[in-house]
Amino acid sequence: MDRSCVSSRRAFLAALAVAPLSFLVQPDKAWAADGQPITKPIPSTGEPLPVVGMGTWISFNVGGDPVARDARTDVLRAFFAAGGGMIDSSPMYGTAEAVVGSCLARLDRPEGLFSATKVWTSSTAEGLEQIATSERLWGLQRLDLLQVHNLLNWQGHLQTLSAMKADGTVRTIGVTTSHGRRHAELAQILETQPIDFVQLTYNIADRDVEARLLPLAAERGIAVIANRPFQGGSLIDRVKRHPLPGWAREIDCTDWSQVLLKFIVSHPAVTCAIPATSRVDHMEQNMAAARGDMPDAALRRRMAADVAAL
Amino acid sequence: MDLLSYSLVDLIPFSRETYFRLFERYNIGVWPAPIIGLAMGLTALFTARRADGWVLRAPFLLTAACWIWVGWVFQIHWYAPLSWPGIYFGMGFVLQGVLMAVVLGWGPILGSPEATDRNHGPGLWILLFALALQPLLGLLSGRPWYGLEVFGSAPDPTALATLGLLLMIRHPLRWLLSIIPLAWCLISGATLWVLSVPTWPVMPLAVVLYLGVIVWPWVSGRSQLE
Repeated sequence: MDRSCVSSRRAFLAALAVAPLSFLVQPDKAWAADGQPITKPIPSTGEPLPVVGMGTWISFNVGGDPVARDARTDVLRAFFAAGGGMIDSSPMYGTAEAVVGSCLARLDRPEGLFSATKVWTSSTAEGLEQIATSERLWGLQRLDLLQVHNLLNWQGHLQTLSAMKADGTVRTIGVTTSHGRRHAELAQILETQPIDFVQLTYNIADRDVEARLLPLAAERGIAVIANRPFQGGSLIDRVKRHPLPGWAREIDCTDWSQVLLKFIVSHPAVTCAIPATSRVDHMEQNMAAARGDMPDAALRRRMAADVAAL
Repeated sequence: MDLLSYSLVDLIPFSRETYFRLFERYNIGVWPAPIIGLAMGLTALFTARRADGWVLRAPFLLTAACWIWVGWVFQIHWYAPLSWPGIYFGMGFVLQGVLMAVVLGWGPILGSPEATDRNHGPGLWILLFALALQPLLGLLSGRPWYGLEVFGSAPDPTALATLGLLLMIRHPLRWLLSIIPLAWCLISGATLWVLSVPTWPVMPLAVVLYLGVIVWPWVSGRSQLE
């Protein structure tokens, strides 16, 4: 395991230079060790993105509950204190966007935020209104990433998003799926559409995407966001009944969440994972997965085999 | 929207903690509506046991008002922001209230001899359970008293009590009035199941009990409701 010491600035400049070949970068060669989390470049822009981001499905859908909003603000504070970047949400997630926007405002819009949300409507025209609503809820004039949620009307929305990107009203665009749905259609989109990001389900137990979609994304220079890293909690509930394997220490893991996250983000084609949590201690554990050594290909195979055998 | 591409979990984008907190905030926010609703439920309970004059219609009109309240206030204004199907649930609840008011509160029930031919057995027990015991089930899940779900302001006891009331009468359109309460029992049971609430089987079991009581006379050859 190699641990390079590079500053975030140097990592950014280096990433710019190698962005088109970023899928070839071995994750264990790209580490920052200056207290900042490990980053990987977004292939289309070269911008470094911390390999552990944050999802908001369920965890940030708390409505107007002031107690819960306080707790989520603490979670976000811990996220940014640990060098977090990407926050991913969707209009489908109830009040999650409003809650994220409220928390960001209370934290004075922390630096480093990479805002990612989605458009989720069957109507292309309504998509524009929905995007405007999302910008208002987040409290941002321009979002960093807009994705077509669950491929819903992706043909219509990608036209809109491409036009917005050309206008500079959104920085990057992409599409999403989850739970392994519609992979054939997703592959078609990756092959034919000029997108920056693809979001899909990938974790140590759901590895179908390794066969085609991840290599395809790498070949096309598309950043990959891995959702459901813990299978919505069921995966971590299953593995945490067992003691950490000995190899966990080799990659600086102190708990199972870090093992599961390091497995995901150490895949050369994966840009970041987006675990969701409503607890500060879990957030700190998750963000610790963006530090230290990462597994190489041989250890990744062993990790998958050992977890499958549990 | 391609609903078939979504699973049950996709329709419940909140945690059990958030769901329970919703009722705590709602009860406080609409206070004293929960007490008024409960009083209406008790009134329905006592008037349902009477079979003469306008009193016959009172429990149904009271319950109809509760369906409209729950649909408009709870489902659309409190629940729907957390979960988009809440809008449709709300419309369904309002529709149920209107249907009950029209079918059982207006003309058709008047002068309808079979409408007063009631069996108080299973229906009365279900009504009593919905009013008195079902709210207390929340305590088993560790919920505070001010977060309990009560008849008239919360959907589950309102739907369950309605099924009890419907079992206490015979009416040619009873099947129509049963559709939305039965559907809600299944939806609520599924929601609580996804949220791992230990009392989730209560609502689906109510569906089984209700249909069992309806179907039993035909199955057994006996007319228990007559």
